Amino acid sequence: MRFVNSKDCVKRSNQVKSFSVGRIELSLATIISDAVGVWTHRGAQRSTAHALNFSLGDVPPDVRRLIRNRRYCRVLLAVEAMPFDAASIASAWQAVAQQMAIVPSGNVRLSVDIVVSDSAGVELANSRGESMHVESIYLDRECVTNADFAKFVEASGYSNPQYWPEEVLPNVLRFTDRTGMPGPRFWAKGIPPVDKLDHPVVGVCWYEANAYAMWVGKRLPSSDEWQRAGTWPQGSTADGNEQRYPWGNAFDPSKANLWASGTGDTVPVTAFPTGNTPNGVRQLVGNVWEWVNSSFSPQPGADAVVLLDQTMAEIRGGAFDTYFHSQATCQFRTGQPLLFRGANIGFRCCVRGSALSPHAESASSTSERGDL
Amino acid sequence: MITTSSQLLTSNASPAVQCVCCGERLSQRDQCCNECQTPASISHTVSARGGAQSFISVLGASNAGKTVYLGLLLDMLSKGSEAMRGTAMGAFSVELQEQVITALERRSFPEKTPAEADAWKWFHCQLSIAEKKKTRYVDMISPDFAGEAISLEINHAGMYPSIGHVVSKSGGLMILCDSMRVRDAGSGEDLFAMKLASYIAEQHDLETEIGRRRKAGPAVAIVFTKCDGCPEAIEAPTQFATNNTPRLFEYCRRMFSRHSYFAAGVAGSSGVLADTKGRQMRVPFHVQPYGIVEPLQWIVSQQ
Repeated sequence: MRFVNSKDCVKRSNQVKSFSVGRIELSLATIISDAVGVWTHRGAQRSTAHALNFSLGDVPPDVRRLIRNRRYCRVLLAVEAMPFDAASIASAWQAVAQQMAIVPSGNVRLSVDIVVSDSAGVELANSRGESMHVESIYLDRECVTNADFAKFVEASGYSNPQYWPEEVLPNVLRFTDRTGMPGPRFWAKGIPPVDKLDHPVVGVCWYEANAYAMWVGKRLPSSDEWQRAGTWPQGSTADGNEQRYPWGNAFDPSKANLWASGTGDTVPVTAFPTGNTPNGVRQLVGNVWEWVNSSFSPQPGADAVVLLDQTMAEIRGGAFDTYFHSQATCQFRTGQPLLFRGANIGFRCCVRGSALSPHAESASSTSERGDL
Repeated sequence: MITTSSQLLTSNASPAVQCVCCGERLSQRDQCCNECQTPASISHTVSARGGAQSFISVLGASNAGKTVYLGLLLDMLSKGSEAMRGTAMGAFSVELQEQVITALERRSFPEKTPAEADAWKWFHCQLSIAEKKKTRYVDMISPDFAGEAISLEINHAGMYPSIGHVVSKSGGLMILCDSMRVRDAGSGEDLFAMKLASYIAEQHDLETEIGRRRKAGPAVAIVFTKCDGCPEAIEAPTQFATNNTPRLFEYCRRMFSRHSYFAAGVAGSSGVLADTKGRQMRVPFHVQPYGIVEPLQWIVSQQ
């Protein structure tokens, strides 16, 4: 089950796109920032510039800025009022190919927790759900980093009501860092820790994750999309079970940052490369739990229910402090309250391929390279 | 060749020793101490190795989370770093660990500890602590007391002699308080914890020392448990204690020269399962231990 308000979010996102990604407006922003100067964290600049390994020479400055800020999907979204030129679209597709991976369509089986009551007591029983079809998506290869999220904070994302559902607006004022500035919970003075720019952003609630995703023209993956991303490369075993981890069925602490790895904290999003999926999606398992766009609540049984203190969203993949590796498989589902801003939850974004402007050249070159 | 049980007993016969907990003399065939129910094998192990042993015990009201805390602590120590590692001595020590870990991995909490002393699970864990130039060894010996038994013992001292023996022998104690009950359920948890603190002081003759030069007394760690549901305790445990357990806070300040406050949690998030018969059970949705080893590290550092 997905949140009803996520649809609203998408609708609002579309409004935002046509409103704020008009080229004239962005060009003005560019002119002003070039003339006056806007504070940008040097480390953040370095981090993003390092991530792009292609030239943006022919691309207009406003589009260059969008791509550098990882907002390239805004160039490609078909709903834009003013179409972008071919060079911009080609560059945006290059960014997509480099920073996102295609997760092909296919089937997954989501596990289902059911509340069961018997003579011994009440407990959670886990069962395999029915097979369901998942459409193909482009998924971020890495979780959103502190450096990425700093761009959203700099762009006053917290004070732009278009990124926040109406019911959460009163809470947005409380989404502050340790010094009371808008930003993730563990930052200070509105900026991330200098030594953790390439770590996944944490201390953000489900709404903050959604707001960022909208700002970059993407969305959070749903539970089934997330699971498909971790399990499709390996296919299914003979009995129809999906592989437990992106690399196979056996846990290996050198492949994912869980409790057993002994780091005790987040690590850069590029660490543990041997745990990547074959198409280069990093750290689906371990480092941080990932918010997904699905609610979490075990199913009520015949005569038993679950009572939650607050509405929960689902989180996936386990984190550096997940004690049991059996609770960090591609199938394991758990949750946290929507407003929870934990030190072990981050997120990554996705976009449906059909929502993006087609670009024959880059699409064909991508498939030729086999770079999914 | 088949060895009969009588031959086995004879060949493994250890010299008679005194109970490590209460000092009662144990015969060679005793499985556990008649006075305090301490497993005889603990006394034999400690006696064979010689040197000083250290009791560290865990107290708390019923449902404060003692069993889960102890079981997970043992598991974490067994996988610990070079700085502090624990080795379970004897299969009975692993039993508690197994019970807790199996339940948590299945996303449930273990069953309540029975009130009968002979059903309590004891553990004996040898801690190795890396210090600057050498490794120090400390024995951690304690039963998993039932909360109901603790309650009866502190109200009527002597009902459960093993509790008195263990507490008086312990150089370090942990008082576990359910942080959510502390925050949400009035003064009951505060008052019960203060009774426990008073009982500890009594067993260590600290209350009779007022006005005279005081003994150092045991190191007492007050641990707020179930912190996944009470972030206020994680933020600042001492401040949380000052604001929410003022009686306990003041009593400890006056009575124990060495005491400190901690927050601990096992679940990443949790919910309550309820059925139509009125039964309710809290379950952890996933396990991410927090603050489990720190109280023990602090106690060991005080010794």
